[in-house]
Formats: sequence, C-alpha cells, structure tokens
Amino acid sequence: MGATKFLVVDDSLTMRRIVVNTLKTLGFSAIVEAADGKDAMTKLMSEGADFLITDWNMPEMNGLELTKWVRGNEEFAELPILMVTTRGNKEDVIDAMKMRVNNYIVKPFTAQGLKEKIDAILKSSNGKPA
Amino acid sequence: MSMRNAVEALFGIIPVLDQIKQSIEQTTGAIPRASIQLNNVTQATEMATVEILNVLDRMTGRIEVAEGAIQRLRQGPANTAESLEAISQALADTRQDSMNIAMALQVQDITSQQIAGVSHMIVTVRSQLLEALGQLEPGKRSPAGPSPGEATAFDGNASFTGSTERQENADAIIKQWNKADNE
Repeated sequence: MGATKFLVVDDSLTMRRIVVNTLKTLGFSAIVEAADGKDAMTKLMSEGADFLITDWNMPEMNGLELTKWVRGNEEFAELPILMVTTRGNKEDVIDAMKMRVNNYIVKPFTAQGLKEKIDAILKSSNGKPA
Repeated sequence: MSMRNAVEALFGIIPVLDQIKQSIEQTTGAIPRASIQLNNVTQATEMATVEILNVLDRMTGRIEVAEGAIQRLRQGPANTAESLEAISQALADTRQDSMNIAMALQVQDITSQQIAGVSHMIVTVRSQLLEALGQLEPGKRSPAGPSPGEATAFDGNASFTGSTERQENADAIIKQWNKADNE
C-alpha cells in the first residue's frame, strides 16, 4: 500500500498540502504534485503514477479534461482516478462517472472519507476504471 | 437639422437606451447574488474558525492531561504504566486534532472559489455596462470581458457546511451508476 505513487492535482496550494499531509498520515510516502491539468499531464509522462487524485476546477486544463486525456491515453487508461471537488450537483457527478473516474469526493472532505475512497479503489478490480 | 432628422435621430437612440436598460436590469439582478455569496464566505469562515477554536480547546485539555501524567511520573514509579498510557493517548488524540484543524482549513480553497465567483460577476457586469455605454460613444472601445477560461477555474457554487449531505448524495449517484453499468 505504501508503495503506491500518488499524483495530487489541485490549483490550490492549501488543498494540495491538505491532501498530501493526509496521504502521509495514511502511510503513503510516494507523492507528486501538480498545479493544473497540463502540469499533471507533464508529470504523468515524465514521472508516472499509480493513482491520480484531481480537483475539477483548475486553470489551463480542468480535472474533467485531464480525466478524459488519461482515459484516452493507452499508457494511463487504467490509472485509478479520484475526483476531489467542490462540485456536488447530480449532473457533475454523472459527468465525472461518464468520463470514468473511479470515485468522487465533495469538498470539504474528512481524512477518514479520503481513506475509505482510496481503499475502495485500490481493492476493487485492481483499481480498474468504473 | 430638420425636424424629420431630429425625430429620426431620437428613434435611433431608443434601441440603444433599451439595451442600456436591459444591461442595468441584468446587473441589478447580479448584485444581490454577489452579496449573498459574500455572506456565504463570511459564514464559511466563521464556521471553520469556530471548528478550529473548538479543536484547540480540546488540545489544551489533552495537554493538561499529559502534564498531569508527567507530574505523577516525577513523583515516583507507582503509576508509571497508567501515566505513560495517559500520555500516549493524549498524544494520539492531539495528532487527530491537528488533522481536524488541517481539514477545517479547506475553507480557504472553498471561500477563494466563492470570492472568485463574485469577482467574475463584477467583471462581467462592468463589461456589460461599458459595452452598453459604448453604444452612446461608438468610437470608444469597451474593455474586454472575462475570458471563457477564467470562468472554469473556480466553482461559484462552492460551499462549506458541516453537513455530509452532499457527499452522501454523490455516493448514492455513484452507487446507482455502478449498478446500472453492471446490469
């Protein structure tokens, strides 16, 4: 579990700090950060990752566009993706599921909630997309 | 200018005035929304601040428990195991409390998006008004409004509440989606 490499994508430095600190508390130490979708694409191609945690609303390239790119890229098509966003409308959740994220967290989240979602994704079908 | 020309000129101004009127009506509708959103920011900030203060109160209590246990240890070995257990528990609870503070600081991200929404609204309103006024001075260029990309970098509906309802709703939708997908 601790060897899983996370890519945390959010344009808010505060949020990245919170997610990263929570991951570290949960025992994960291999963590890379990106400030938007384009930065995430670059980091994925250069450093790779085993799990993507992404915000939705970001400049340059938002989380949904990033997810679409990941799913359309043969190398990363099976990458587990957890959307962590302030968007909580039914339409937003459905749009994210259509884009094949594995799961969805609405901010503000709890550490326990994040742990449960990550555990569920890692355990389910080797983390294949929903 | 003949009377006919003057009347024609006046009729020409009417559509422009109508457009200005529409712009003003739209902008006056936006202002209360901006005010409500700023109130939401205040409420979210207060809620998070109170949560943090509550956690700090608990942490103070835990520190006092740990200090009491240390004092007993200093007095002699009689209750060593019990005192060490109390210190260990106080530290574990303090660690949890520090995480709770970090979680409450999500308010910064949420309120920044709410404020970005208000800012976007103000820029849009200003742009609309200046464009309408520009009809009266055709030679004058109106400033550009917000770019489309700016509108997607924030969620104007972001909210910070103490409720788990939004997550529960999202979980229900995902469960239904997965069920339909597997059928």
